[in-house]
Amino acid sequence: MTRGDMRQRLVILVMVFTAALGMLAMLRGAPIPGTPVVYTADMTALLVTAGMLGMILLGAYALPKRLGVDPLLMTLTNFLCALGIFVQYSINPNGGLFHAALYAAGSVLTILMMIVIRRVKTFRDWWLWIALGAAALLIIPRFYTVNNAHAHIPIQRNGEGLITMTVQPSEAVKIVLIVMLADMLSGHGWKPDAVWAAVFAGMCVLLLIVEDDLGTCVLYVATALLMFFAATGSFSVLLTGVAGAGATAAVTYRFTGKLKTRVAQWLNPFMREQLDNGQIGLKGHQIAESLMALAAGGVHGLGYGIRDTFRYVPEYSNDFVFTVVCSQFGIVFALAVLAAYMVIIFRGMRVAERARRRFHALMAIGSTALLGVQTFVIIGGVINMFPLTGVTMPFVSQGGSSMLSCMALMGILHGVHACAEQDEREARALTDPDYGASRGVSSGREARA
Amino acid sequence: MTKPIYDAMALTLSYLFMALGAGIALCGAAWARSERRSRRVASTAPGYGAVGYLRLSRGSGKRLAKREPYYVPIEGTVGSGRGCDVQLPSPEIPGRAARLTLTQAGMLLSPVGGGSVRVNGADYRASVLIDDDTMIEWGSLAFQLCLYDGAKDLAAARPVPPLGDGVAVYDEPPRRLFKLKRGSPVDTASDAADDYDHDESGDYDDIDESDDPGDYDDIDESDDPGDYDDIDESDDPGDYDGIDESDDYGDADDPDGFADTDAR
Repeated sequence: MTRGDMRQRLVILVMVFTAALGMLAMLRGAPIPGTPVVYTADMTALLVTAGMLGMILLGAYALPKRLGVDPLLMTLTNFLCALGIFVQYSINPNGGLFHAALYAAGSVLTILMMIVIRRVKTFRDWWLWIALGAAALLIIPRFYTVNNAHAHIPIQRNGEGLITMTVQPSEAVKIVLIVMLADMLSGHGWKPDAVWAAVFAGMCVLLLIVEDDLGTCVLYVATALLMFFAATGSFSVLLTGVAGAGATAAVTYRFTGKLKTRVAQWLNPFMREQLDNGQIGLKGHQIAESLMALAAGGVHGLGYGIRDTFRYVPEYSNDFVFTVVCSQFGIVFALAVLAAYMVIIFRGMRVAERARRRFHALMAIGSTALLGVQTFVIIGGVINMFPLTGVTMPFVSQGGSSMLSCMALMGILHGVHACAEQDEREARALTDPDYGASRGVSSGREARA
Repeated sequence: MTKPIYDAMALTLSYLFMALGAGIALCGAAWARSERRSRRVASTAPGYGAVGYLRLSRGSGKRLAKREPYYVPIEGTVGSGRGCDVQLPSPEIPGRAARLTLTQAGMLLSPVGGGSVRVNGADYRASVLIDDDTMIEWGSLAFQLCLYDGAKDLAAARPVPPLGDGVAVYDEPPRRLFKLKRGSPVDTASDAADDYDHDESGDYDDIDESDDPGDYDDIDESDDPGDYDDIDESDDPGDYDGIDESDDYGDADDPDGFADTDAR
């Protein structure tokens, strides 16, 4: 079977999945008031489905040809985004539409990011200003309190003064961290720049600890360590970083009540204790409810939009969206989603391996590592493998900042892929003039002729 | 639509979603795997990234492959460290020994970390411009650089660092160690330089035949890294059949002994 056949099969499977899910979303619609068992057809879901199908085709065939994006990464991203849109739609139609709008905006951001990566060779002249901007972005949320944390900036409130929309600047700084570290670690005289890279990463981590945004802090630390290891190839650097991160975590655990609570919930989620309202409840009721909803899904799930057993799980559209996926589609499908993430990660590493420039390779490694660690940490938290952290599941969870940052990360990977493809085409044109002529790629040999 | 009908439909489709999810994951993994395999095969071919290769010509190491070429990219680092583009795993070679940059004039070899590099028997602390057949030495190990024909043309299409004042240019005629005559008495590169006959006739009769590091008669053809006959044509992104044979990587009358191992 050739790659063309595999692309066709994958695209057909993703399109059938999206169309079937869209049809269910359309048929389910909304209950007619006064008639609890009759639903109206939802034409908005039909429009969203048509748009998604168009994007899948565009991402698999047109964009790779025109812009050089990686069709496999694009198709799998579209699969996860389609899943996210319809899962959010089943939870709340407005949330689903918002997720679809974010996906559209994120797709544009992917293309923009890709163009930037292809054009800009270094950001060395702007290091200071970028670092100051990142610090400012991480400090501003300290002055706001949203959900007992200081990680968000409220940008919209309803008539009663309740916060209805926020932005999370640390999601944007994720991209900055990857680009800056890649740039600083890719120079030939790497040692002084590596010190600046360590200073920048350390500053970001400390500001996140001050903000009490420990979930994002874990992502930053893991990504920075992996990038340092990739750049230096030194286990001593990695072990030093791990030791430093461990010491910081121990100090944070000692002085932060939130981390202690998370660890206690992780160790014994079903322990009963007296809650704030005086009643007796489960100590880790978030995780306990999540585990019960996971079990309720079984092998093949309860069906899309039939029974909302996940409604007892707090934050089911954000942190616990994997529980919703397991509940509605079953554990087999959830494992397939995990496999899709794994393929994206391996593909990202392959993009990094093929990159001809150190800057590009490090950016691809950083982007892949961040996506992989984020997926690993949140799913591990949901199934109680690790203490729960408040990060989102890439492409599926509700959250504008997260969705846009994940799409920007994909833009980096597509940009590096396109550069590597271009370099390989030029290299092949050197020894195969027919190839160069057919693809319009110039080589030194043709110039000499 | 009534709720029972919808429920029945959604429950039925849950099996379809299960199968579709598994199919998508398997298909994606198969796609990624097949592309990786075909690229791995093609990446060692000339013109697909590598501009040449280093081959161990003297000395030995536990992890050093004697006959496998170490492919050299258009720009990168060479050393024993994992982070190097050309990794030569030997304790005799520094972690990051030198930087290789292809220019139109040849390959620019720049020692890094304040070290020096020995090229054809002479030590260089600054950058040195080397060419095809140059011997690069670290300790008791000697590697021969082989650049593909036309590789330097690739440098025309990319910016290259200007050759500063500190750049030494190795401008001696190319030495023929074991390539011309099997059995060059290469105990050290400097000895070899003394043995080398610079006259135009290329008289190599003074070379001792007894110590023959270049005997490639026993090369196992099945291990040939350049044998692409087994590439699945349908999966092959690089059709190498179209290479112009007249402009090949070695002359028919060039007794370099590499004709059978060249990556064609």
